[in-house]
Amino acid sequence: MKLDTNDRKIVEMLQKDATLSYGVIAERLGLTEGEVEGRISRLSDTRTKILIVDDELDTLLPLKRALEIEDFNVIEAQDGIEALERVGSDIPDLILLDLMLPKLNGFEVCQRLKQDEATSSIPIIMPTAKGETSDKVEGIEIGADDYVTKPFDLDELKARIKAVLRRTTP
Amino acid sequence: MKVKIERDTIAIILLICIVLICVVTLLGFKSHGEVEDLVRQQFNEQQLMLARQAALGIEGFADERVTIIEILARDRSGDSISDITGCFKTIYEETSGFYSIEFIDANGVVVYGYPEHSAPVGYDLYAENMSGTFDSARDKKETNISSPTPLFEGGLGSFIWVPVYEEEEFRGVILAIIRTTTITDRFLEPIMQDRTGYVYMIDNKGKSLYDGTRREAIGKNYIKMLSEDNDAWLKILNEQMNGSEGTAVYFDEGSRSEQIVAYAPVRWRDQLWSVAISVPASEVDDLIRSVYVKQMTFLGIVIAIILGGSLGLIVMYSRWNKTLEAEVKLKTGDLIQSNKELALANERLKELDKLKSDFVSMVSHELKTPLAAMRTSAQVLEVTDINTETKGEMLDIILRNIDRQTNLVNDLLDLSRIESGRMELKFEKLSLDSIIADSVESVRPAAMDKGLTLDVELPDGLASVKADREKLTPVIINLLNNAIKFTPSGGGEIIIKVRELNGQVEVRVSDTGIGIPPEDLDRVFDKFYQVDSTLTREAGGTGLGLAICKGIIDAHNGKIWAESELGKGSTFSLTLEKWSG
Repeated sequence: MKLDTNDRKIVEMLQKDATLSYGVIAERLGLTEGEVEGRISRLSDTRTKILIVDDELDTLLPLKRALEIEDFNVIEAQDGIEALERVGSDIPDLILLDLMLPKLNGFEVCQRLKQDEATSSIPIIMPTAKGETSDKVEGIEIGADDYVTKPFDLDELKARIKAVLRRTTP
Repeated sequence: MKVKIERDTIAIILLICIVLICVVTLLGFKSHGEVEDLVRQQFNEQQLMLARQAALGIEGFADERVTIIEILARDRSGDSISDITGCFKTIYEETSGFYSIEFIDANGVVVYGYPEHSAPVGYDLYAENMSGTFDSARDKKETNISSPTPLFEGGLGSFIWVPVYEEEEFRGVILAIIRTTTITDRFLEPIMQDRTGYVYMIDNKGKSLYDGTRREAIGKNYIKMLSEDNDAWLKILNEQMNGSEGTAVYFDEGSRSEQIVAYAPVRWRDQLWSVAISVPASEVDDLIRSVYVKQMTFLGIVIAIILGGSLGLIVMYSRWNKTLEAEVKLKTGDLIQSNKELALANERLKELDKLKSDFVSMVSHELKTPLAAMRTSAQVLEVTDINTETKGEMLDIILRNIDRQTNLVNDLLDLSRIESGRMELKFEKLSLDSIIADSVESVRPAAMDKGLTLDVELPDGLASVKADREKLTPVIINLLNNAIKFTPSGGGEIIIKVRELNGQVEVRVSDTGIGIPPEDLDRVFDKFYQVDSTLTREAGGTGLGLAICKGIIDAHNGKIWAESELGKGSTFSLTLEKWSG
């Protein structure tokens, strides 16, 4: 998990004095109490974080619920640009990246992530509705780690996610 | 290439033209020589004919005179001398040409003569010792004609001695004298009138009897007058003295010019004279020159005709060529045109093919996406310990996607019907008022949810249109829904405006929404085109609505188009035909 300066300061403060209230911390760092609470809850969340990128909310939501039931921390993005932003701010452990996305398509997002050293190690699984071989080959070439074909079986997806995580986590 | 061929052809025509001119010129010059010879020959013959004619004339004239006297001498031989001499006057006056006619009796004394004033009556030949010819005529008993000899009165004259015998009795001689000038004035003088050259006549000794230019030479002998180096003329004179006829050329020292001489003999009993016509050779040259001029004129005309003909050919050819070229250009143009059309058609086919495969993959995506959502949701529902809230969420997703799938399938079926031309339209006389009122009512709740106002502008007495109510209503609703969909909540305004324009009825649906980028304006009626898919999905669109609208309006013989300004709003317009009864 990647921490920014404020995150580190909060951690330091809490290590010195575990009884500090959110209000005191917020006052010291010039943040709102809500922000501090959010940061602390995020810092204290040790679940595996998965980013789902899909422009179809109806696809995204059941997937999110299914993975939450499996105790994953699920964050979401609905287009390519948002996906890159979420990767930068939240550092997910795995990305489920749809191909057909507004603004920046799945291949381009994948390519950018794999070219950036900071994000190149994040495993990517591409669910695609097309099921065409050429898409798969292109995806593999630019570094996608695995595929699932729409409509996919939820159990298969879960198994693949776990397999990829096992493979990439030291 | 084209220009080269044309030049070649023109060059060939010119070459043929030049060759023709050369041939004509060559033939012309060759015939010049022949013509020159021919003209010279003709000229010589003509001169000779003239000489011959003159000679014959002289012969006839002189012989006739002699014959008259002889007839007199024979027929009247028994008559008295006075009877004989009595005829002299008649003969003299009836036949012109005699200088005088005399009668010399058997003793050699002139007893009578006519005209009497010139008759030396009493003149005794023996006494004067001039009886030679008289004796010869008496002894030979035949006519004796003397060479022209000088007369007492001047000039030359021919003495014709005709003896008169009664049986064997010699009665005397009739002497007739013909002056040479009488003959020459009659036969030679007129020949050279209005012509260059001159005529002369000699006897068989070379004595000049007549000379057209040198009167002083008459009576003298030419041979003696000749300078030594004039062999050519001497030769001619010799020929003449021999009694030959012909033509010849000699160089005259006096006039310093070449002379053509044509000569013919005059045979009068035992007399031999020769008439000659001498003409400068330049006469022939003049003649030839005039022939040349005519020939050159002819040559010139022929060349002009050849040149004109060639020019005509070239002009005709180049015109024909131009017509041909124009025709070829036309044909080539047609070919190029059809090639272009083919290329265009090919391009269009490729485009259509791409569109088709794009469409297929879009359909595949659009069909699989709701299925994926339903499947995942159903699998989430399978888990026993999920909460009620999640259950509701999942059921909503499933139901929504079933609707979405249904809509998509319906739209695809509509589109398929439109594209295959199987859509059946029931045209009727429709008032747009009711259709628009119905459409507005059906979208009003959605507009009100977003806080948008809906204005309808309908003119009074609007003409009815020819349309299918069941097909047209969804089009209007679709346009209104789009307007609502792409106009942000609160304060927006949607206007539907109808007017008559150019014999048609135009419906305009305007909004104050987000607008469409100019580069996308043409594509909004394409299948699955979506300016922003997220928004479309939220509103439950399939991306086929406008394509279906366009198909329906096209089937109505109408037009549909979009105008927009990014950020300010869009206007969708359509036209319909008026009901014409």
